[in-house]
Formats: sequence, C-alpha cells, structure tokens
Amino acid sequence: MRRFQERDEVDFVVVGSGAAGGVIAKELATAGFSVVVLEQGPWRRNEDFGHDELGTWILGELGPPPERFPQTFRRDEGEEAQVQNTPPPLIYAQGVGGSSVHFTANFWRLRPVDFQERSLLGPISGTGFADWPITYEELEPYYTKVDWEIGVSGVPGPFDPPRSRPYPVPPLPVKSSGVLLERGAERLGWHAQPAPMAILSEPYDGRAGCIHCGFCMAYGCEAGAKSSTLVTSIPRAVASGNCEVRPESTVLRVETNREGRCTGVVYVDTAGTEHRQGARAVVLSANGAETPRLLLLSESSLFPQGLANSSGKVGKYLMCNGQSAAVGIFPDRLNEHKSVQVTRIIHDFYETDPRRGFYGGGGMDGRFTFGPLLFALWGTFPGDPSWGPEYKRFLHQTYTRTMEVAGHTTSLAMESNSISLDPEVRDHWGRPALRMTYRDYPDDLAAMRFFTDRGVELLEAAGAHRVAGLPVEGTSLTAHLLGTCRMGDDPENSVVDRYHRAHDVPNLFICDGSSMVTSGRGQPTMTIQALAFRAADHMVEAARRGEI
Amino acid sequence: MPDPTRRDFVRSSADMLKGGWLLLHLPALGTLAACSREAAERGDAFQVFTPDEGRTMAALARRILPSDPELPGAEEAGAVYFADGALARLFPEWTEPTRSFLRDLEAGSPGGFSRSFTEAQDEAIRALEDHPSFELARMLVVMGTFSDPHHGGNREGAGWRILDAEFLPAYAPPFGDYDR
Repeated sequence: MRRFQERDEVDFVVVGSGAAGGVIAKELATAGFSVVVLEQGPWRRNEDFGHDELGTWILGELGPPPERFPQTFRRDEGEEAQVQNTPPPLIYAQGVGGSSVHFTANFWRLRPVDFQERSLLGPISGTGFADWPITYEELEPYYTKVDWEIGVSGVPGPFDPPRSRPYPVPPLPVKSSGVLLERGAERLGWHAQPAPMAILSEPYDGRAGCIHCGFCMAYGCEAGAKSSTLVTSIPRAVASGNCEVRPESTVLRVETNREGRCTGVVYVDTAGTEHRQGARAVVLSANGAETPRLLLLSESSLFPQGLANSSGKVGKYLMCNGQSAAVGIFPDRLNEHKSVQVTRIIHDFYETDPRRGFYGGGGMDGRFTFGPLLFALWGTFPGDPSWGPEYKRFLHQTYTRTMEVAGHTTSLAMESNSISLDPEVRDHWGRPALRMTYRDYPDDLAAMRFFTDRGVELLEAAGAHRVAGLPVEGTSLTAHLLGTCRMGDDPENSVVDRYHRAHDVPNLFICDGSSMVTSGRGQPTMTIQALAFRAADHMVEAARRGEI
Repeated sequence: MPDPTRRDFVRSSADMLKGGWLLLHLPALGTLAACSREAAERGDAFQVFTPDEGRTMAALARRILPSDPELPGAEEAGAVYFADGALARLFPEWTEPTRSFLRDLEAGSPGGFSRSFTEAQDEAIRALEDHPSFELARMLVVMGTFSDPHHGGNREGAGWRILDAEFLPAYAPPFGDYDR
C-alpha cells in the first residue's frame, strides 16, 4: 500500500471507509487522485470474523465500545437525554468497511416515487417532507454500477423500477421462510419475489460464493461473500497505488482557512497522539451520526454554527425507517439458522395508499433474527415462561420451526428529530457524545402497525399454528442513520447540493446516509452506494476542472 | 453507567424482534477465556462466587433449564462455571446484583433454596421473578448454556441438543422441510 506523509497535501482525504467512503476512495484513487482514507476502527481480515453470538450481539465487538464512546437519547427537546448503552441508540460498526461489514445485506433500490413523493402527495403538516433534487432516472446508472462493481444477487420482481442491466449474479437459494412467504402471499393475492442481496450466490469477481453459514446480520463474513467495501472497493482503491487507508484514526475536526475552504483534518491515533492530514478537498462519509457530529465540532469564527451549517440543518431530519415484526411457529422444520437472513420479499404495499389513512408504505421479508443464544434469551412469546421445564420444551420444539415477517417502512423527515452534541456527556477523546433526539411521526407508527397486521395475516395464511404480532413502540434505536445533512438545491434548507458539495464550503463533499432526503422503505445501503458512485464522478470532474 | 434493569431488557427483547437492527451492547468487553472451561473440568474453586453462592447458582441453573433423561440442562452445560467466569471478566458490574438475588433466593426458602425440593425451589423463584436482578441471573444461566463453547459454557454442545438443531460451519440447500 502506498504511504503518504502527513506533511504531503493529498488530493482528497476521505473520512470513513464504509458503504460510501469505500466506494468514493476507490473511484477517486483509480481516477488517478491521491487519497488518504481515515477510519476509526481496525482493519480486520475475513479470517477475523466468526460465529460468536455473545461477542457480536451482547458485547458488540464490531461497534464502538460503549463505555468509551457513550451515546445519549431523548424523545424531544423537552427531555434531558439519558445515556443509553444497552443497547446504544445509534448502531454502526467500526472498522475498514464500516457498517457494510456487519449489515444484513438487504439491497433494495429506491423507486422513482421515493424521489418525488412530496410533489405527488403534497405537504404533510409538521414535517420537512421534500423531493430529492435528483430523480431515479439520474441515479439508475449508478445503481447498476453498484450491482456489478459491488456484487449483488437477485432477479427483477414484479414491482421493481426500470433497470438498464440484469443482476450480475442469480438469487440465493430459497429457504423455508422464503417458501412460506411465497405460500402465504399467493393465498392472499400478494407477490413474493427473490430478495436482492449484497451476498454472492456464486463466485464472482474473484470472490467466493456464500457458504450458507447463517451468520450475516451483525457479523462480518468469513467467506468474503458479503459484498462489503472491505472486500470490494477498498482492495481496489489500495491496488491503484494512489490510496492509503489508515485504520484506528479518529477524525476530531475539519480544518478551514480564512477563505472558508477546507485545508485538511486533525485526527487522533489509538495512543491519543494528534495528527494532521492536509488535503485539497475533504470528503465526509463517516455515517449519518458521525458526519454531522464532525461538522458541528468543526465550528470556527467563520462557521460559528458548525461547518457547512449556515442553514442550521446539520444533524436535523434524522430518519430511521420503521420496523415491525410478526412471529410464527410452523409444524415442520424451517432451520432458519442456516444461510442468509432473507431470501424472499414482498413489495405489494410499497407506495402510499390514501385509502389506508396514513402516509407511507414499505416492504416485508421472511427471516429469522435469532441465533441460538438470542432465541433462548428472548425468543419466547409474550406471556410464556422464560425458565423451567415448559421453557426448555418450547426451545426444543420451536427453535427450528420459527420465522419472522419483518416490515420495513417509511420515516418522515422532521426537523425536531436529530443528531446533536450532548452538552454533558463526553467520550474517550473528550468529544461531546452523540445525542439522538427522536419521536416517530404518527403516520410512521401507523405504517408499522399496518405491516405488523399484514405479517400476522401472512403467517396465518402460510400455515403457522401459532402467530404473534409484536407491539409497535416508538423508535429508540436504529442502524439506519439517514437525512442528517440532506441534499437540496436551496442552501437555506439543505446542507449539500445535488452533487454532494457543501453549499457553504466549496472543497467539502459529504456523502453517506446523511444525504438522503426521504427514507425510502428500509434497506438504504444500495442507495447510499449509488449516491457514492455518482458523487465520486462529480468530484473527479470537478477536480479535473481545477474546481476543488 | 446504570445497571441494566429488567425493564431495559424487556424493551430490548421487543426491539430485538423488530426486524433485527439491534446490536445489544453491554458495558463490558473481552472474551471469556477457555481457561474457565478448563477450571470447571478440573473442579477448581470459583473465581467470584463463594462456595455457598456457587451452590445456590447451581441449584437455580438446574431449575431454569432442568436436566431430564432425554436432554441435558444447564448443569451439564457448565452454566454455573460460565456465570462465575463471566462475572469475573465480562460483566463485573453484575456481580453485586447477582449476589443480592442469590441471597434473597436463599432467604426466601425455609431451610435454604439449595437444600429445598424442586417444587419449593420453583415456588421460591416464582416469588422473586420481579426481583430487579432475576433477569441478570437468568441471563447468566442462558448464556452459559447457549453461547459459543469457547466462552466456557455449552459444554459438549449441550445447548445445541436442547435446541434440537445441528450447528455446522457451513450448509447446502435444502435447508429445511419446506424448501426441499
């Protein structure tokens, strides 16, 4: 790997190596620009990943250690935020590849309607519901680029948006949960389709296909079949000879000069030693929580509200996607602990239907969240014994016979839902802790309840002999960190322009989940990566024109 | 940081089921070394529990996941040794709440919990299900039965047998009865 000296001014410094940062680094480096990527976490190899449920889920070994990096949560500005570490409200992985390493790998595209829903439906009171400044058609070539460069398994379904090229790899083999989802959907007149997944069903592009070990969600992939940037973009960026990835490097602030331009970033290594990396342009892809924190921490006399924040919108409009769940037990074995989480999805209720009485829609999938430990800890039905002979019999009879129908739904953008700097709690490096403020809009809760009910119907239609819909509660934690530096044409109402350049700072680019204007219907990573490819194209053009 | 409460865990379990975006962080790091398992096999003394506490914890584990002629339980899994090692290395802040629960459990049974018949033990547990630390003690037993064996519990795959599932490093389709 090429090494740069800190005294060198590189063309681009990229903060974050995840779904967006990994893609952007690769695109810039292979276009011939010098790039330094700074990543908070370690550089793990495939062989570092395993099947340790306690370590991964209970101890959170892929995330930031909560005792050193606490987070706080409150419902609204009227509440004092409380430390919430069990679990933290904002869930992400640290390490080269970022959260693309541990995500479940559901990989849905948005549809044309997601970009223009505000125009189609009109305003919604008390929200910042807005159109994107770009359309699906503008993003489609980049979705296709993600399919082929990252590696996506799938086949088009009945409601899919137009695509310019087929999937590069066929869908993963169907599991029993997928067969049952199809069976239930058919009986109800709905349409199940193979799930698009960023997991290879067969060898592709020098990587192995899935070995169906069953440890995808929250785990890294020891086979390298999950298409994280750790095994796709980052190796290519490094192989270009133009990119250095520095793991265990936490950026503390973006530096600016008197002209209001970025000059580089200050970061700290694991020993606590501060370093500075100069750059002609800075790219923030640190995720929808860390990116706004970094901007708010980079205040100066020229940028008293935080960098790129003349609009006051940095950190605002946080969207998490709603979640719902129904659980069913079947007479025969599903063995859902094997293979990928999801093999079939249903998109019949994707769009808003005014007859339902609320804004929003979503998708459903058949899956099983639990490994053996989590199932034994929390898999019993509400009201059932959690200890004793009956509990043991439940575990014995149902572990291999249970599935879940998960709903993934819209979240409306609200200015009051945000990432901000906690005024009291500080982290290991002395930075104000991430503070999440979040209260679901009533329509978002209605959508979750609607999907819970559909899940119950589906499981019953599929032949489950015992079914429960989980109660819908307000969102208090999320792995979807969306909307906090939203894209827009109006500098008074958005943070970045349609090309991901900060309205206020000409050589600062921001691209990750924070760029999203609407939430889509869950599964945002595909869109984040398409945005990253598109943003990188414009960065390359701008740099070649001498405009960074 | 505050001790996790039963309410937190109940809420966490509901979130857990909701589509799976939960990484449950608990406030300790590190892994329980294989030496805990070796200690159990050698019959070494506990690291955290006193002999009395160990007896109470072992009796509690036998009632949470009882052994029967067909299937092992928490005892065969070595859950009590896992719990002792976990309090030493992973969750030291759970030690006092767990001790307080074990004390209350002993005090709640005439003649002592660990010396009672199983019916009386079940009665004593039922009386303390709302104890603020019951869930911690239950979690220790369950973790000690179903965690990956390298953490020191789940000896000889006792937990896998309870779940009636084969756990292999990799699989090939068909995976279940419905996708054959």
